[in-house]
Amino acid sequence: MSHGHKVASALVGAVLLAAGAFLLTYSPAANASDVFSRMMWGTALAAGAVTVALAVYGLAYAGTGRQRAAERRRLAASHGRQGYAPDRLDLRPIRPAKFWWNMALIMLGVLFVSSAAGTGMTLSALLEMPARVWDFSGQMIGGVAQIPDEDVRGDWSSAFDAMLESVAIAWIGTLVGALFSLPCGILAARNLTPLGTYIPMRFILSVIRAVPEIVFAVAIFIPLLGVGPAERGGAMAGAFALGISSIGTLSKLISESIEGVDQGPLEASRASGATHMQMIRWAVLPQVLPEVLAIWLYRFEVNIRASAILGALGAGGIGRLISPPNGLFGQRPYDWEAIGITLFVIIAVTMAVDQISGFVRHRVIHGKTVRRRTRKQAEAAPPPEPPRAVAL
Amino acid sequence: MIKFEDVEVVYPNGFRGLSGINLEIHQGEFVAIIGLSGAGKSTLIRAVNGLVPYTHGTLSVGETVVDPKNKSKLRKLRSKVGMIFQQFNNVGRITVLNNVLIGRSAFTPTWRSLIGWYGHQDKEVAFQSLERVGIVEKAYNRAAALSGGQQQRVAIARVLAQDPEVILADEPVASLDPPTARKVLGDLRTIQRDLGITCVVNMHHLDLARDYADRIIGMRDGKVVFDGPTAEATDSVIAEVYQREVSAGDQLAPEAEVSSKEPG
Amino acid sequence: MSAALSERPVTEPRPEPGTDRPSPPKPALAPYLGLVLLAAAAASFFIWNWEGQAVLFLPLGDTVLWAPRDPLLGLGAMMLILVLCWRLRVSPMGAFGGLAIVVITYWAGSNIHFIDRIAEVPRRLTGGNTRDQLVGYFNPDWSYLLFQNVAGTSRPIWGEWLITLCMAVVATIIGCFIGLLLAMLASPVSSLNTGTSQTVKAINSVVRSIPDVGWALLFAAFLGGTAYGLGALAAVLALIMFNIGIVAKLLGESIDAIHPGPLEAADAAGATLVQRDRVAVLPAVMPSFISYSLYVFELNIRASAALGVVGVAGIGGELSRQIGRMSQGYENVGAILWALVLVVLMVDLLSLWIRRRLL
Ligand SMILES: Nc1ncnc2c1ncn2[C@@H]1O[C@H](COP(=O)(O)OP(=O)(O)OP(=O)(O)O)[C@@H](O)[C@H]1O
Ligand SMILES: [Mg+2]
Repeated sequence: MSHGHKVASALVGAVLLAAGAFLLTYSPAANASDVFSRMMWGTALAAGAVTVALAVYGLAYAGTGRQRAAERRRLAASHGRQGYAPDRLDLRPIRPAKFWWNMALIMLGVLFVSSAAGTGMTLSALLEMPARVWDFSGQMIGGVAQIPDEDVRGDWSSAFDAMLESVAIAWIGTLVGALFSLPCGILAARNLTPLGTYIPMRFILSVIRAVPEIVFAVAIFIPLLGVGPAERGGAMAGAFALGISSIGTLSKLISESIEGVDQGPLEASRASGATHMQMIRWAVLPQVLPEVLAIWLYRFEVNIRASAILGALGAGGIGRLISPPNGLFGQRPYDWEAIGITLFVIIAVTMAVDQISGFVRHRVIHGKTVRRRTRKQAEAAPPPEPPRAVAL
Repeated sequence: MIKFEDVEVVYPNGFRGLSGINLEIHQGEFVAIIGLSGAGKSTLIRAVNGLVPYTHGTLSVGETVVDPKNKSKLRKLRSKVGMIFQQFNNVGRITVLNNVLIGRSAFTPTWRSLIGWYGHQDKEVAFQSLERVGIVEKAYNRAAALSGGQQQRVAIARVLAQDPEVILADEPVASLDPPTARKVLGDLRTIQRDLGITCVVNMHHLDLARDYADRIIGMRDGKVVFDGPTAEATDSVIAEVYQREVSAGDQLAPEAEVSSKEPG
Repeated sequence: MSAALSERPVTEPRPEPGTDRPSPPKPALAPYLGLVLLAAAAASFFIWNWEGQAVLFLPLGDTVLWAPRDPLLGLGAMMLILVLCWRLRVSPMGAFGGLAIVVITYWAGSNIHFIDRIAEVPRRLTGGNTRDQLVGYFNPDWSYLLFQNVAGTSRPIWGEWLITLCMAVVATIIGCFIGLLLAMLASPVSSLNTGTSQTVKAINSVVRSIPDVGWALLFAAFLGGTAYGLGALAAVLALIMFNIGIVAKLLGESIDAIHPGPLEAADAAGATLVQRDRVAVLPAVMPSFISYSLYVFELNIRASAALGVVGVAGIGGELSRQIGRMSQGYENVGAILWALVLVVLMVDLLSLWIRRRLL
């Protein structure tokens, strides 16, 4: 396909997309759902804009047609003839067209416009927002900064209580996840496990990873363990939901780090006739343990944040304190001073836990002494691994 | 062209990298700097374009004094002084042509490089530099997909695209095999002759230095201990620089071991 | 414990049997006795506090720091871990770590009433509405999901799914781009100066520590309500903040780790900071950026299902309404949850496919 053909077919595609989307705005689906009809309008508009842009580009390209034809003739004529001295420019490679890449970008743009239309956001509300933000943050800061009287003390202590409950939920969740993830991780590591266990294990783990925490919480653990504050069982439900979904990600990361271990000690212990368990205990675990600990701690940090969401659905912790119907945002007018205090406590405790766990993590991985790397060493060492996204 | 007057470099940790350097390198010279690992060769070369700020004395390139504090003047200076590295330092994930176009940065408005829209002229310059080092047919390949020698040529093309007056090369051939090393140095030498560019090259291999350089500078412990035309750099003088006998291992025949010393 | 494990040789040398084999060094006794004392002190604190609650008096207010349940269990666990560490010849530092883990676990467990709740599970399973609930969740009512409207409106349920997806798409695209900019500013490698990088990092960790539900509530209040269009806007803004936090952190770390060589080359060519970031930093982190963006998209779908409690638009709002209906809504909740799993799975497959194609 030449460049011209590509432009033409993209143009036709854009026209078809615009027309199709426009027609769909009259379909019964669009009648039933305003979201759908808005999305289709957005798609039609965006595709129309793309059509216009492509048409302009296509015309400009067609304008150079004569020049390109002359060049092609020159090349064709000179081919096979004696004494053809290629032009210097002929040796330069032709720029490869990134057709599909460009199409993907254009489609992303269309998708963005159509989704933005689909959400039906009232963007004009943004204009009034700054004044409110100013007003409310003033009140929040005032709440944090004032000298606590009896009322405000109550706010501080309930915020602290709820946040400590969140930390406890995250800790138990991480612990549950950690206990199960080590054996699961070993069973899901290709270099330690026969294919017969490896494949089902991987499958189970990916099913667990596909289920969001709130599904575990709402569908299984809240009925089993209770809902609401800690003494009614909500906190336990949150902890177990976090624990189960931690198993999925933790085991995957652990199995990856086990697959990445140095094979030398493994072979040495196999050669010296160690049993499977002995090999895992003496050749694998010592190598991966620091990394596994670091992974667990990462997950702890993640779980603290996740517990807030679960709380909003009745699973204890700080989420319960702020969310409607019973939380701080439950009835108007909002008590902005209490909200400010609560947010402050959330930020302070989360950051403190991050710092502590970051310190322990660093200590576990790098040992007691922290060597300052000079430029030389930094050059010599391979660049460190990028952080793990899945851990979050 | 490049003038060191009593230049000193003290690293932030207090280490004295260069002390009391007085040198003058003339327009169009090809200078090789030799010395043991840690002698301060890289420091000397990096001081010229301000990658390592010098702390005492004056260092000037052409008419301009290198001023490590003044960022915009430094950028202007760096646009005239190209640099080649041992590890090539190409951006692996973009095309060879885009790598070469990095050399045009100083001549391109920031907003244009932000959207990756280089002018016709810039592209022409980039292609011509690629043609000069003979890898124009790879222009649209990813830089990471090239061999070491080709990558170093891309780096040279990037420097050529700057239209430099001076080329600094920090061990340009230390990670190449001997025949390729000779080819790359040969390219560099030809370019230097054709365009009248001043070249300052760090080297570990004596025989390469002798074959390609006009002038050899020997360094030890941050000081210049030898400076003279290649003909004067006899084995005994070199032994003085290295503070030991020159052995066969220092010589690099095309088919010999790549390097008997630790690589820099 | 890790230190002790890695100290042991992998394959032990085999000297003549019986004679002077070097045994691993015994840890010093004194620190261990100190640890035992520590454990005893902690236990006596538990027992003293058995019925009451240890309250931490802060100048700001007091908080229940400690509500011990079953102190003897805690004491037993502490002693057990110490004995175990002693038998395994763990260094005192490792034993201290073990002890700390036991104490924190004991604290967390009694804080969330671990044993009481576990003990109650069998009773709940046999009687009450737990059975109904579970049965309802596993018998989802698909016709509700496909053909019914949101109660009291003419909006179909599947439209709520669409709006959730739309919110996730918009928030991902905007959030990832802002996150990219902030990551550039946050990493000392690509930032203007260390001051900027420290400031941006600090702001980012504040942004990250407010949970997304918190952001959604804040924005709903700032926008003055959760009426139809406002709720969607609040959710999108909250998701954007959430994404900025994640992308800026992860991508900032990726930028920290990139190879410094090309940056130096760009510098040596006289590039400005922006040019350097564009030509040398951006291509190097592009694969990570794409895979983080896909990952964040998946997170957004999960999160927007939960954000509904706030009253914002999307399937989350419907979910919390159905949960609020208690016994009438179990089959409907089940349908929403199963569909959520399905959607997340599909997004997962899609992003796997895109990653394969692109990287
Ligand atoms: N960033 C730095 N901070 C402190 N000291 C440094 C730094 N960079 C280099 N040095 C020290 O300066 C001295 C000279 O280093 P330089 O890199 O110039 O040596 P070199 O001659 O290039 O060696 P090689 O042949 O191994 O590349 C060395 O002792 C080195 O340890
Ligand atoms: Mg060096």
